[in-house]
Amino acid sequence: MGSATGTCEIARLPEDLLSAALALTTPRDACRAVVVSRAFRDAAGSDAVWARFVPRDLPPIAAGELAGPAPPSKKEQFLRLSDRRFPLLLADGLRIQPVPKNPLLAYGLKSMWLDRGSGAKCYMLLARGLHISWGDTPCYWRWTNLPDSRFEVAVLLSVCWFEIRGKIHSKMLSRDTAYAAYIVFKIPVGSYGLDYPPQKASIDTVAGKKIIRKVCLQSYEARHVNRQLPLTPEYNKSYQLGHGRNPVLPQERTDGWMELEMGVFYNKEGDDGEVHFSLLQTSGTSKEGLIVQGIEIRPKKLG
Amino acid sequence: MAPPATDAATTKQEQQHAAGGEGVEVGGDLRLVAECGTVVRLSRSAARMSTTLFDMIEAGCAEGGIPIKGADVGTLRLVAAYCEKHAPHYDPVASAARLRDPFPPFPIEFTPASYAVKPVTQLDPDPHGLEAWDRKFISDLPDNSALFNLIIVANLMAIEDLVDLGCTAVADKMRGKTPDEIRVALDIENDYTPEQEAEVRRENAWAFED
Repeated sequence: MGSATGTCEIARLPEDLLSAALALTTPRDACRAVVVSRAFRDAAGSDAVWARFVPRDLPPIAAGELAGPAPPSKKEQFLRLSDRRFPLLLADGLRIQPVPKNPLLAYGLKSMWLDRGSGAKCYMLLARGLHISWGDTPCYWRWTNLPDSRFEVAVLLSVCWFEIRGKIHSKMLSRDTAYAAYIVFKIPVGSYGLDYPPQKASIDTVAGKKIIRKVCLQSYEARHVNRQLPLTPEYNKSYQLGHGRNPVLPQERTDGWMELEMGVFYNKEGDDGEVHFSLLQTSGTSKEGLIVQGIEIRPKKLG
Repeated sequence: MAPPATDAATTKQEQQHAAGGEGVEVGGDLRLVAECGTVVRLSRSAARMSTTLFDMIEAGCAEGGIPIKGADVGTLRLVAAYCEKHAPHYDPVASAARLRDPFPPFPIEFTPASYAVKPVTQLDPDPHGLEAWDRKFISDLPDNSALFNLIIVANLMAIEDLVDLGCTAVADKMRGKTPDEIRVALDIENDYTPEQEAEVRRENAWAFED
């Protein structure tokens, strides 16, 4: 039975079985595997592999989102569904109306894309789909379209009761995946009260666990970039005392927005219920000048 | 060969033995014949796991030696061992459902009433010790060649669970690895020219960013 050393043993494995093995890895692994050898390239690009990577339980997409000719291969279909620059609006069945002035825009509640590396489902709970306290009162919040956001964003004028809530059903998320939720926002010049007091972000999981963390929409350094407050030692000290243990700070995204991680949760197979997200700051201080795009939910690599 | 008198199945065998030709056991173990001619026995209940053998049994042509083309003795014995171990707990319906439809259709109703039956918490995730046995079975394989032989023969005999187990073992050797590491793990020769390799790397550049 012995084979000469140097022979490619795996060449004996028929392509469909190699594809079956690759289909059990991840999209990232399958693309890396293309570089291994020519036989791998053929097996790794096959429809059998990429059909497995596109989740069959995708939520209904709004009509017209996947316009144009059908992709030539399952791999192309996956790459389209996992293009973070063009998320797909979901047909949430609630309010999809074209905005009169611009027929391409719509009231979107959620958009979706696949995480390219793992194939996990990612969502953006758009501002219109969130529950924002006083969001319908024009003197507190207003709604507008920005050039760098396909959907309407919520603009905070001034509010003392700052409360943003969102939710998603666990069945929409990928099974046995760790997710993180991020509030995606911008802080224009002239903002106030977003650096202190810190806000409270919480996630209520299906299992009943409540994950709470102290967050801060605007870091101390960012606040003082515009020289809005003098950098005195007294202010510095009282600021640090007030914040106590360091709150989680926002990060800049590549698309020009900021994101603040609200928490991490695990979606277990069999979880059946809604996951709730909230961002609160309801002390008497005034908060002004925040632009909210939505809450993004995407997988997080743990450890 | 005097069969024990108490065993009803053997009594039937004895009768058929008397009726049929000598050297042929009707209703007994299957005899799988490897490339080299050696016979590997497989009980009927274990043979159920192979769709090919199951169909042959149903069609009544599973008597005598069944040649398994391209299979060496070692691999056939491994396949037989797997089938004998898994046969008592084999559920073809559950197996087919698990392998062919890993993604159920999107649920339309979200109301809890649709999922009134809460899944029972399983105290022991591996009640029959099959998963642990499978892990040892795979890790005991001497080299990649044996693993590939196992997958090829299991595919030939249409034993889906074993094909799945083998493919998962191959997938485990590829997951999270760089192309070089995969080549080492699976003894693969790189048959790209440097230009070709650079091009496929470029085409899939996103997979290498981290």
